[in-house]
Amino acid sequence: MKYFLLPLALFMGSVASACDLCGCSASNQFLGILPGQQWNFVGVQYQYNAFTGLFPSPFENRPKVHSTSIYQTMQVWGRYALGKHYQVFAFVPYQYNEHKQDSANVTRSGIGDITLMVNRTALDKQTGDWQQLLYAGVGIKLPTGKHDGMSVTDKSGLPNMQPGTGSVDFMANANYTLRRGKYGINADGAYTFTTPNKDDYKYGNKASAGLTGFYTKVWSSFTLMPQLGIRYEYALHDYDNYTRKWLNEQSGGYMCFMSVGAQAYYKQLGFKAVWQAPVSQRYSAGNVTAGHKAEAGIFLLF
Amino acid sequence: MKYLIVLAIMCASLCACQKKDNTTPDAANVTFTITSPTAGQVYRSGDSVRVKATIVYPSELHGYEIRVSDSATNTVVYDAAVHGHADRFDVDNAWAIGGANAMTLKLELIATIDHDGTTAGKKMNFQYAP
Repeated sequence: MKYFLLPLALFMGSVASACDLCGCSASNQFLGILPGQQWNFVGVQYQYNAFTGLFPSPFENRPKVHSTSIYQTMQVWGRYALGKHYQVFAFVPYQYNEHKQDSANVTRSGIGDITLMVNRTALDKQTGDWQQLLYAGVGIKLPTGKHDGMSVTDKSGLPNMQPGTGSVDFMANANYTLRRGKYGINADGAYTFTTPNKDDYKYGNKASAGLTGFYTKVWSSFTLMPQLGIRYEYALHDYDNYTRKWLNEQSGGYMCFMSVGAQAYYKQLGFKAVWQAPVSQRYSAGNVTAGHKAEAGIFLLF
Repeated sequence: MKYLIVLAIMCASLCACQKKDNTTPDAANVTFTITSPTAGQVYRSGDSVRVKATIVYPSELHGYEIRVSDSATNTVVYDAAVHGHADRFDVDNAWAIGGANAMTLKLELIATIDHDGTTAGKKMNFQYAP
């Protein structure tokens, strides 16, 4: 109960002065449904996110600015068990980001920020037909990604285009799976605590939560797991200058996606594909609209 | 399950509010220093007109605009805008001037103080005599 009351008190204390929701092109690392914890795995996955923007000009008598941003990530990731209770996760992304604004195109690509996470199995329990698995942990995102630094005049649009954020960020996550026979649900939540980078730019903290139902069909050595879910993502405002608390209220926001996908396993080879469609959002003060997301990957269990 | 509930509530609490600079936007606090052109300076056809200035404000500015127009007709002959976030902008723009007719040109330097339309400006006249 004490774990419940402390955060509730924090929440109640801050509601009265809650800020407006706004948006940025934020992404967040989450785990979702994973292969059985008896396996280690290494895999490659591709992620696609697209956004369109229609921003009012900050200058008088000028037309609105149209933009399209496409974020593509190819990342190597994996999980390795340390003893019976702990698992280490690593993510090494390569980013390819495109931003088209009226007639101007900007492309940024390169190695992104490496993320390391350690999770502990908090619950692994079989009760009759019901099986529960809960793990939770923490992580760190290192500023290994290419980050050009930002001049005064490109702070308006380019921070989210950089392959790396230039900051050390910290994460907490929890992942719960409940199974009964062929059916199951997975609930996960993650929170990223960002820190300012060398330009004193601070990306907004990010939260993500998802609920996914799945079904497992086994044919000999082939397993198929279709899944259907919903995911909520929230990003606080960025700071243009964190020391001076220059809050960029045209960044941050929330998105909610419906997702449909499947995982398939053949012996020790796994495949995953997920497609997400936005169902509700308010991003970048309503100036940015998230499009569909797609994710696909293969992984090797060992 | 309690871990998930704790995490969800912590997220909600952490998403609620952020500190921000609450400086009241005040156009009078923007300081413009224009070093080029100078008032009344005369340019000939083909000359490079260089606008060199600094814009300083105690808090965050969101960009600036340079507009040069014919003071008699208000026809804009040069216009540039920069969207950025800083408490100081060093302006250094140049373009080649031309045309058959002499004009008294009005330089307007406009600083954007917020995204709600608060601006500050400074005007100055110079001459074009082909």
